[in-house]
Amino acid sequence: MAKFKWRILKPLLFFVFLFFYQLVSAQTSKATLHGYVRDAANGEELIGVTVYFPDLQKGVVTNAYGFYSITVEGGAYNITYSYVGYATVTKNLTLASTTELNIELEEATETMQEVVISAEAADANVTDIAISTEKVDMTQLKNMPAVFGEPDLIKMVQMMPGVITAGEGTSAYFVRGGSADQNLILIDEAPIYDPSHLFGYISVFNSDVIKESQLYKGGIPARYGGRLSSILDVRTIDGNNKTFGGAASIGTLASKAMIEGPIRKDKGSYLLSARRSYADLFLKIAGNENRVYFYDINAKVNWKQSNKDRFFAAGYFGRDAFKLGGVFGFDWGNTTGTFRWNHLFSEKLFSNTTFIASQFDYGLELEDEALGFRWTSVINELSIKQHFNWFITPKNELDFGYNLTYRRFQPGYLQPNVESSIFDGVELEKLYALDHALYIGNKQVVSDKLTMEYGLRLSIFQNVGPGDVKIYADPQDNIRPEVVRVDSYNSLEPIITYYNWEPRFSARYLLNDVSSVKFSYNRMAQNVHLISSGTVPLPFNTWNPSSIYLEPQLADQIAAGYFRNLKENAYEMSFEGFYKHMQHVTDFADNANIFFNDDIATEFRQGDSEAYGFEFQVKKNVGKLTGFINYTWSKTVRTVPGVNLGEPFPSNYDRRNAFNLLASYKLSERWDFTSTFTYSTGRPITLPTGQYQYQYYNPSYITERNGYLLPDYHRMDISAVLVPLKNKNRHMQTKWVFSVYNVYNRKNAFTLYSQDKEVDDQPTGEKEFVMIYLFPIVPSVTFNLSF
Amino acid sequence: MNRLFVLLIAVFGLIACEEVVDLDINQSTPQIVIEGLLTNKDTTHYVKVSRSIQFYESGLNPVTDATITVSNGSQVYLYSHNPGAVDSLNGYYFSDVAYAGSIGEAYTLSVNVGGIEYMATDTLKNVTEIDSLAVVLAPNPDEDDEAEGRIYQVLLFAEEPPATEDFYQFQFFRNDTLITSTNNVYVFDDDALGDRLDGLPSPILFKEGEKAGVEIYSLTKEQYLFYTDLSNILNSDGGMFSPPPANPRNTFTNNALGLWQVSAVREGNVIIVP
Repeated sequence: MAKFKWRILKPLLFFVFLFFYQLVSAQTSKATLHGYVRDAANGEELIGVTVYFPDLQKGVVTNAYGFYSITVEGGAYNITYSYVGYATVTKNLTLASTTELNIELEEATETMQEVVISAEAADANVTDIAISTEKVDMTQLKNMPAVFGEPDLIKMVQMMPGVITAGEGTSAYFVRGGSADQNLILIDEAPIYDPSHLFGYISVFNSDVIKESQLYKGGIPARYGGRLSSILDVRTIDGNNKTFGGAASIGTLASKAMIEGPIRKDKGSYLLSARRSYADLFLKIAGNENRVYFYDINAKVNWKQSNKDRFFAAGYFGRDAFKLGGVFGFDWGNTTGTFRWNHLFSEKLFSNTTFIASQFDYGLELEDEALGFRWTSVINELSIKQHFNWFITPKNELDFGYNLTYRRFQPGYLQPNVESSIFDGVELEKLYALDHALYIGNKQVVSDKLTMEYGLRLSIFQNVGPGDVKIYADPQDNIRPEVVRVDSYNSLEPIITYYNWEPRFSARYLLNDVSSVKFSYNRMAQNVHLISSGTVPLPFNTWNPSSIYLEPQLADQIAAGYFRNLKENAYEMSFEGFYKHMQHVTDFADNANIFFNDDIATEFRQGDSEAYGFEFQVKKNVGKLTGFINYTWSKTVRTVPGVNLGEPFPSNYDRRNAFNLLASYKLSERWDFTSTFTYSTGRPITLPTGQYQYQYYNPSYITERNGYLLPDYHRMDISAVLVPLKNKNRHMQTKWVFSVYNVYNRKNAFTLYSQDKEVDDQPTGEKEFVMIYLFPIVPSVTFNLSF
Repeated sequence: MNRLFVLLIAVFGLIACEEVVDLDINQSTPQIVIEGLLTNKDTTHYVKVSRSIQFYESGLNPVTDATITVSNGSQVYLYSHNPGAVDSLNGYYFSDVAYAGSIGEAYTLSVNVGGIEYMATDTLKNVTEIDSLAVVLAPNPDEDDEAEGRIYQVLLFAEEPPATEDFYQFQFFRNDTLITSTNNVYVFDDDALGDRLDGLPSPILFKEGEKAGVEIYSLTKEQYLFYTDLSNILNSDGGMFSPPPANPRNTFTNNALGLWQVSAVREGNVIIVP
């Protein structure tokens, strides 16, 4: 224990030292300018606005809540507020003491675009310290072609460099050699355990209510943690605090409606949005017994008590329900609630306190007199996050905080749903976990050219009681698990505790006005493990905490990149390389039974994974033609004792090449055209090389894991957005989105499996491969309305 | 179960398609496959020995020169290859004498092919008696069955010893003919059951006048896992949602495929009368 304490103390001392050093160096009499930056039209706080002092060549960026603070020597200054897509505002101020300045920015119209081009913010690609970070352009997202015309955030994420997909029709994505469960997906800071609707056709994110979303693939700041490979941080809009408004749309798949407005002008606002699919209504009309639907609801209120205290409450409720043949049903859903309190302790010290509740659950049900049952599984999470953002000097911005999370995993509960059922009620052992995280990180402008961000996160993870823990003679014996004893634990009594230090570091060095090099290293630890051995997680997968049988997964990643802008920032270019080494990645024994298994611990196999690759990106953000080209080359290999005889094998999502293109052309005020093209190497697949007879069965004979590749995947989609001219003169705005998915009707393999060849329903003794492909050419129309 | 999800996605897509494709697949080295069954019935028992074939081939690749013995520690039973020299029984070995496996006894199968010995041992477990079979109208007969007048289902009633961990396999017969399937495996785990098997419905349907037969086999956990693994590979979706397909586990040495099954068996019959 003593040894452990010293291990904690040593790095902490360093930070304490650093902290006081900053304090001392920041003491001279200076003026602090602070405030919020908002959208002039609806009062939404803007995230990532550059507040810049050209005379000093110093600046700061608004944080995730739209707040900024910068301390400079007293004097008269020009200050610019700039943000992509908005008109830059320049203020002339004489700063003597602490000054509060809340700024409203207006969205740039066509004619103002030229002004925006020259704004400082446009060179963020080069000057910002962020490496391996992708921001989703919401306009691009809303205009991009989508299957069934439903614009989807995850589909955009899947096009980003460094991101691999498992194929169309899934919401899973794989970042830099990480598996699908290694992505943390946050909506207003609350985690979403399964982001899929309709098995992944679309995701839970309703694009109408997204304000900002960022994907961190590397150089992950210390305030984020808990998953190895990426953080997708989605923030929803707060609701218009100036006027009442709304939007509605009717699409091929789903319809949605949203209202927003002030509770009191400039003081508080609300937002309510709902979306529902209606395929089930068509099925009903067609006399089909199958039922399929999903819905989601986003609700939010926020209240600005004063410029010092602001409160938000946000909720997300989503659910999918299927019923087949009136007999077999299943459903799943996420529910999250967030309550936030922003408080300014001083003009330099911003505090955010968040309470989060999140639940993911699913159920499977069979309605049958004899075999009827309902099976449910639930994961609950409660957490509190205290985050401080301290704008010490213009050269130092400190982030620090503490997170506490409590999780309850209920892997399975099976109960008969009719009295005549042959089943008894059975419940798998519940699991509990407490997770503490302490972090501190500083962003430091070292010189005109060099900026660094460094931090440290300490994750303390405890698998706690109540519970009975089986101790196995051989924890890997999944045939006849032999329990030597059972240890009982009381509520909150630690079963095992894991400590992990997670250092984070990024640096940016400006080569000149238009180019920079960046470097980052981060270590991440993950203490929740998805119990799934397929390529793509299903909503019916459960999660387990780290335990005596599952060590925390760890990832070390280094990434380096060259960033360059061309033609006065009209083009952004980046080239990044990464190397990632992961330890204790969770895998499963061959033939593992992960479905209602009391001894699931005996199926766990953990090993190493190694990934490396490079990513190339070009973006054009201004002009009539905008878009991006992304290319990724990467390789991922796993070595897991007990899987594939311990030999290295390509991971399920090891796709060597991935190329994505999006081009948007603004033809006129009325018409916008967007086209996307995607190409990637087929995903690895395990195919049989032989077959044999056993009784009346002809099983396939497997000799090699992931030894084959599916055919290459490629597809082109187009969309046209029509904004009618009459919009100009009225409050009500309408928009049509026409899109065609898979324009050249490519048959892309979704999966491939072997089966017995049959002629007239009779097996021939021969076998064959069957390829499943999902979407042929699919046209769709969506009508949008906003007021 | 696993392929179900892919089909579901396909169903929901309404437009998803299946297509048979020809693939260039590597040649595999033929592997020994052993299928042996010993029951508590006093009869001549069989062991079938073959080699796996290439994916695009068909038929049985029998092994005719194996040396086979079954032993319970005290007695050794010898098996001979196809004593009646029937062409269709190439690869089948029969015990030289009729014998019955005893409940609670462990039996070792040893198959020697070209100097390599493949061995497996398992214990013959008791199986519950079938109390009765009831005939009821099936709740959801499919169109094919309905067209043939097969609208009756057989319900099985039996005691289920609650204290022991039991696994069962079922075989169904129509007029004494075994009903075969390419991908359905009928095995059952007693984990979620009460102390009775009350009204377990037959997965196949019958018409009036037919003789419905059910055989219930005891399985050890190893044998049960073999059958669930077999079901997984027969129904694998290729690893999209299900685990990557893998060969079923068994107790053979030297990586032989197949299973040494020792089971107690009981049977029940009923003539379908509405």
